[in-house]
Amino acid sequence: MKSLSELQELKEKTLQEINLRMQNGGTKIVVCMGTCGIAAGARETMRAIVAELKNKNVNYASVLLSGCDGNCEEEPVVKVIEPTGEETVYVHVDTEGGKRIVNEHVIAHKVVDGMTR
Amino acid sequence: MDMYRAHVLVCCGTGCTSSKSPQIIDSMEKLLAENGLETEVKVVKTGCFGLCARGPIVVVYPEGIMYTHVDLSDVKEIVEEHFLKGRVVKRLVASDEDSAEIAHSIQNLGFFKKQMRIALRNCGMINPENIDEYIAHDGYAALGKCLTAMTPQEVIDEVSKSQLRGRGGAGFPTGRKWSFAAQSKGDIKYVCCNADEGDPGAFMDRSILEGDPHSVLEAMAIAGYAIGSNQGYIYIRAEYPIAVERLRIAIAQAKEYGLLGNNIFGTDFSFDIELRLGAGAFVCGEETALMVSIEGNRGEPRTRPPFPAVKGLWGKPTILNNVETYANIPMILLKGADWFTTIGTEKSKGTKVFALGGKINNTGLVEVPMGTTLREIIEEIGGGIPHGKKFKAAQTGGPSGGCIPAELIDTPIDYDSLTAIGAMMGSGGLIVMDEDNCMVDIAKFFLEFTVDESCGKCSPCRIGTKRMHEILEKITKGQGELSDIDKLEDLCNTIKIAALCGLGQTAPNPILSTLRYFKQEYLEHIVNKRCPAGVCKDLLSYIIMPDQCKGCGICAKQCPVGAISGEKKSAHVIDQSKCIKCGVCMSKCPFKAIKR
Repeated sequence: MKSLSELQELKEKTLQEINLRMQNGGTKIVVCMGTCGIAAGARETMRAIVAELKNKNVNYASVLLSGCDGNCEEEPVVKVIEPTGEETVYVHVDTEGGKRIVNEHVIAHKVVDGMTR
Repeated sequence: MDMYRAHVLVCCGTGCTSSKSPQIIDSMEKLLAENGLETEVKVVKTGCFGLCARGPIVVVYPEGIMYTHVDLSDVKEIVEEHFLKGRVVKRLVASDEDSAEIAHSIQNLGFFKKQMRIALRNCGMINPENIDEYIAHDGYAALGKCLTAMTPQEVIDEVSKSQLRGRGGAGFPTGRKWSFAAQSKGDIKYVCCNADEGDPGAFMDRSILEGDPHSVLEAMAIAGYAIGSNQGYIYIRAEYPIAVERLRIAIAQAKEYGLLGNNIFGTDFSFDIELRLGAGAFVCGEETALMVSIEGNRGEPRTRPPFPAVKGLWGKPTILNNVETYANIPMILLKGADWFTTIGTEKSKGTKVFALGGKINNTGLVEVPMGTTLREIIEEIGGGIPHGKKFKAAQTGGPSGGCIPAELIDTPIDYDSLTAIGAMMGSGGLIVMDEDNCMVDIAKFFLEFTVDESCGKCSPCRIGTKRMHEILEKITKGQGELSDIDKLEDLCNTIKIAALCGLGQTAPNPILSTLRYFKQEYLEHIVNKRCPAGVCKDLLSYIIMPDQCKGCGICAKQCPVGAISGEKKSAHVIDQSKCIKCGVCMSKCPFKAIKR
């Protein structure tokens, strides 16, 4: 390492990896991971969301799991909670839907059409 | 780059390591793999979180949930419930004693709320064995800034302006120390780090080195640039194997990245750091003895002046700072002296790390702004005294320090307030004592330590501490006379001015301060041959109250020496000539009929 810019580059790269420890109040994506959710494919959905966040270098959103939300019929259920506390519930979210949530809601700040309740 | 959705931080400080945190990591990684979660959840080993009393500690991000007292057998439940299904294992989540609700984030815990972490900023946040994580938290940015945008004089000016004082105990202004060394003429100069933490009950420096070793390396390189030195030494005791290991790893990584070595950041500045392991002699924490020991000789102090800044290691100008002092340096240079001086009191700026120990619920490591009161540390951060006992005194500064009695609990903790009341900041050991502690016995304990650790070079310390210990021994055995108190005071005041180094000069402090605040307790031992706290065994006797004794015989069965006798259903008696004062009878009596 011979320059400050190299240091800065390494800092930003690593920050992306450890950003989720910072608790800086970004967007939360909560995937319901009850037995019903897992059976309906919530795990695959969640993995797709994590992969898409990585692809798009989003470091202000974190992925959380929760238990069953009570509407097992609508699984997989994904909630997006803005830093303001505003909550959007998406239902029947498959892997494609997960990617759309990342791109349209988390990145472009628009509620995804046709996936809400 | 790997992207995980969750990071599990497992404390691998000395405390949690000895309660099996490395095995918890192994088991967790195995179970994560069995459940197909190894690409989603990353296990990270970190340094100390500070809440050592409740270790092993596991913190899960992004939620910030803190699990405490995690047993190897709990790992399966955490993996299968929390990581697989998102259900927090409530029974293991840390909560405040007085709160029925679990803390949903580590930040909401009372233990952390009042703290302000500068020296400990990265402890429990990063993997100390991964330089990248330190860099992500602005690591080595301060060194970069100094080398490329500041002159050595500007670095010294900034440190002086911050009013940072040495955290090793005496509180000498760091900037002034650096400026003396910078002014000294010489082709070779040295930068040393004092990691010979020897006070009983102190573990601040160890925790910083275990949790964030790079912050000390970075600060030493900055100091080297400031005074014109190319070589640093860290003097650390061999009894800190984890800290030594992590320092070795950190030095190797910094060298690999070119952050130590030749032409750092492409400039003319080169700096290297070596470790020197000490054998654990307390006197080697004294600066001149430490340097003599680095040179390979027997660790004995020498007279000052000349001060190390003029003639130190191998006769060359040297600066020696404590671990915690160094840990503050990068932040001061990054955020500026003006930021640092907003924290703390008029003459003590910044924060101080304390190792809380003794009779306190949250035994562990805390960092608070200077000026925080002892009450806030003990009651709010420390969670109070166990079993509802009453606070009696706190000892700061270990064997060199003094005690703060209960009536001064609202004293703001800074260098000058503590000196004014006869205690001292010391390196940061804070031992809390309750009504069951005998102050004469405490003074005797610390004196026993200094008698053992005195190097023997000067007679006031070698002979004087021994005599003082003998007098204390006599008092606790009930053979004290009133003239002993005058003799003690006489010895204390003489040794204070006559001893060669800091060890001897401060050795009388525990006696002077207990005499100042607890003279009545000394008199009680001497005049009435009684130990009010019930600690000094020779002054104790256990007596069965005949009117309260129901003659159940439990005490007689429990007594290890058969000193208790009596008929069934009638009052028992203790044979004082056989009694060894273990107190078992008193603790077992169902009718509380035994008094001491």
